[in-house]
Amino acid sequence: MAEVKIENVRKMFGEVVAVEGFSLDIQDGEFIILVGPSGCGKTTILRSIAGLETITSGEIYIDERPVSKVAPKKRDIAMVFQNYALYPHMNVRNNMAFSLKLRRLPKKQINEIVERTADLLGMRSLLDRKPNELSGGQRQRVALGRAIVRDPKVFLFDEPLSNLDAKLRISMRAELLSLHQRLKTTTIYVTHDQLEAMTMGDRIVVMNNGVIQQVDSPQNVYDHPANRFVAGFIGSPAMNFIDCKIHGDKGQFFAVSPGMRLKIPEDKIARIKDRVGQELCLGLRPEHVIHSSLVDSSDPEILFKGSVWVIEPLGSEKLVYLRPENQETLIARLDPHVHIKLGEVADFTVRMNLAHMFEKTDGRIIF
Amino acid sequence: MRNYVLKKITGKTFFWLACLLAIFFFIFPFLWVVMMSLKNPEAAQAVPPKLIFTPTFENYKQVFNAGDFLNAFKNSFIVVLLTLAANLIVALPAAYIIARWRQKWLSFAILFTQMAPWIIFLLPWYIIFKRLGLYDTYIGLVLSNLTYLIPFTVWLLLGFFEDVPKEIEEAAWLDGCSHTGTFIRMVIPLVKGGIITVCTLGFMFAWNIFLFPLVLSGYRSKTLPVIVYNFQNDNSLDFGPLSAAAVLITLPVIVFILINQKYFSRGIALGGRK
Amino acid sequence: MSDVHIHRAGNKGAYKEDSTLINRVSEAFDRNIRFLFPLPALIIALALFLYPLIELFYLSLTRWSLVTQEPRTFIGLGNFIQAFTRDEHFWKSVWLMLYFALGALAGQFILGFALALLLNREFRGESVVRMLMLFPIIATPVAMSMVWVIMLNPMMGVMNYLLSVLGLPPSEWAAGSKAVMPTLIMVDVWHWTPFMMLVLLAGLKNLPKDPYEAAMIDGASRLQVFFKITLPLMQPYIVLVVILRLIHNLKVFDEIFVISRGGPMRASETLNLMIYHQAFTAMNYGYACALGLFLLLVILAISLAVFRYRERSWSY
Repeated sequence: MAEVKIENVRKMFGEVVAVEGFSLDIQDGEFIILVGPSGCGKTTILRSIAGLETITSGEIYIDERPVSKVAPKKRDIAMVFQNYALYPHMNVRNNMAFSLKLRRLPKKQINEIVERTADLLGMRSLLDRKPNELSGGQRQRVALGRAIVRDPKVFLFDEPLSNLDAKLRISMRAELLSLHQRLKTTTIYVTHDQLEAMTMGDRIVVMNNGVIQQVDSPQNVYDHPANRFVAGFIGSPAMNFIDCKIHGDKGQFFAVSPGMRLKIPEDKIARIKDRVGQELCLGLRPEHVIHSSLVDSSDPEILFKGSVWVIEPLGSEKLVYLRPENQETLIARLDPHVHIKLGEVADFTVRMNLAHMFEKTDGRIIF
Repeated sequence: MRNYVLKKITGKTFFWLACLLAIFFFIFPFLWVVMMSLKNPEAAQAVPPKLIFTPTFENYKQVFNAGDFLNAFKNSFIVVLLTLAANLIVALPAAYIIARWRQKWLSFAILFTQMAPWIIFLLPWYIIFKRLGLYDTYIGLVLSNLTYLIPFTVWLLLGFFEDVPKEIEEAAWLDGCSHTGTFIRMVIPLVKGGIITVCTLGFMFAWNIFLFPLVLSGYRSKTLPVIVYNFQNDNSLDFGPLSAAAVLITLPVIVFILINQKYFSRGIALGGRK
Repeated sequence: MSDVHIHRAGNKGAYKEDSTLINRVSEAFDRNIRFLFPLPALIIALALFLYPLIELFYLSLTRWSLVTQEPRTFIGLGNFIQAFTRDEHFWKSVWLMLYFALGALAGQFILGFALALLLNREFRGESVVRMLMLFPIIATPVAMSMVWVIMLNPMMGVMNYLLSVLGLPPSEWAAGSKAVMPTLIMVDVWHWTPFMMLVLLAGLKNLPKDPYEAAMIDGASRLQVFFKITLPLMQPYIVLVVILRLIHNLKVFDEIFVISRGGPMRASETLNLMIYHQAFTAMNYGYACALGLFLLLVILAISLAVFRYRERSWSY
């Protein structure tokens, strides 16, 4: 259990900057997730915390102790690798016992700890097997067990679930979370799957191109993305982005694009009124595009027509791919029982009070 | 239809005939030398050669009693074992590091050491060893063997070391293992196959090597190949005992390699493929 | 819930710095294994490989003979000039070296390839045949050379007997100045063909099956299949193994030394043997080193060509 403080870390590989200006305070016992597309630097930061990479500048503190010059084995950190990295020539028991043997703990104590951890993970029966006799999920558990047995200050997870099949992934997610509840060890978890990030973290850190984009609770990141990248990365299906121009008309403002004239809500006008005539980017989440049949007030200012291109009935909802006039495809998340047909041109409305506006140039958020 | 069956039968017969011929050609000297080693002097020199004769172990007795034979046998064993041990101790760590930090010029250097004509080293070695008192010593012979064996071992093991996933080492480091400890406890067990291959080929090399001991060994440390050559050169033994000597020196290496045949074949395949 | 944490109390502080001398030394060692691990190998390479080469280079520029009691004198390229222009045997030894290397190579290759093609199928007893084929490679060359000496004895050896059985006249084998080189080539072919065969066989087994199936459907004859499909596909293996064996053949020593010792009358004294004789029989150290340097440069040139070829061919 420990606090981890990362201060302005920069990591370069030769001439290439992998991570820049990374600063983060992680609370004791927190489950924090680093999420982003491949190459965004999340694994680099994780490995730097572990000591498997040396940082170019900045400092990392574990429990107030600067560790950037400390060897990995002395940082009291355990890591679960993406490919598990089990010791192939040792059985499960010895895989888990290895670190304890290195610490010269008495044999009896080692056995106790190993067996108790195996029970915790439901692995007792596997103790004498070798890694090549185990399934992917079982190897996962052994990697987990190996980390737990060390009782470290911090757990590091490097995309541990990405090699498992979908069903296993879901059950392991739940198990990891329940383990975290029990052990309460500070955990730093890296994934490229935004769904995993949303469901597992106390806080998530969204990264792109080596830079932190946003740090917040999952819901806040979803509701209040810091920029266009975060807005488009978090949430599935992804947010719809529409290039629009701002028009002003008698004190009211509209985001206008071919086939659409959407009124800017009152509370957001202040940020938009000096942008008349400029091109901006409007962000609409699929669930904020509503089929007209489900709305009572048909305020003509908020309607637009779209031809239905693809319908994906998912059982709990219907994903409809729309083509408004001259526009790129929009995705709408509709109630599953809405009557709608392929090729039909239907009326849609938009929850503008939940919409976002971004700069077209650099994706900064406007509202 | 009959034509096809006939073709098949003649095809098969031809195959087995060719096989038998080839095997006979390559195995013949071995059969011959064993036969000769069991013949008494008349039978050995008889023309046409006698295929049926009463075998005798007299020749072997003669070889064992011939002055330095047992000494040479002992020397060969000691030199081979020392060579293999020293080779592993020196080459394994070197190969490990080279595999992790590959350099192009290094590959060429290693390739070149295997191609170099060994005769050119013998004179400088002779001069240097005499100066340093390494002439006619086990250490001297082992050193000369190592000069060839170490680059060969490194080159052979590079692929094996590269195949060990770096993550396993990283996991061991995080678990608290030192770099050296990781090397010994994690990496080496995972290149076991390569190590056995190296030892198999190394045994063959060290046991059979003639040129180095010819120049660098003297009365005390003479190895078997040199002794056998001496027997022939000073005509101290007849065909029978000479054959017995040949059998005695060849037997250990053939037996050893056949026991480890799988690793030997793998070593050859690696040698051809690179 | 706290059961999992029971062991926490026991091993906190496991990594407190134990700064005894032994620990500090082993930590320093551990941090620097990148340099320390290759060090012994490097030392051996420098002392036993590089330094002798320098000594070889230097000595080749001197006149130093243990027979004449002259002190060692620097004569620049004198040794080389003598070898190239005045020593009658020098160019002959180079020629013999090439003759042997290429002759043995041709024999090994043709026989080895033929056998590889023959054995490129599944048959009962395959492992036994392969095992028996290993014998010539494994056996101590000196010992087997001696066996050949016995077998090739012009009067009592079995080889002449076999010739007579086949109705052929007897040969002088290693005792005849005309017959000695073909004899030595034959012995070397006997020694190394199995190796060539094994490598080529491995190559054949690795070839893709598709072109052959296509050829079968197209109705190609066996000869056409061989020349148009097998040979081109085997090209990388062939070139590699041929060059490797060529270099190896240039350096053959044991068999020649034991069977003919370079005779009769230097008829089989390849460059290799000549260097040995000059160094250890005639004791012309300086001259021997010059000859050695020449051989080294020849082989260096060929090695460079091999290396460049590998770099290039691996890019497709």
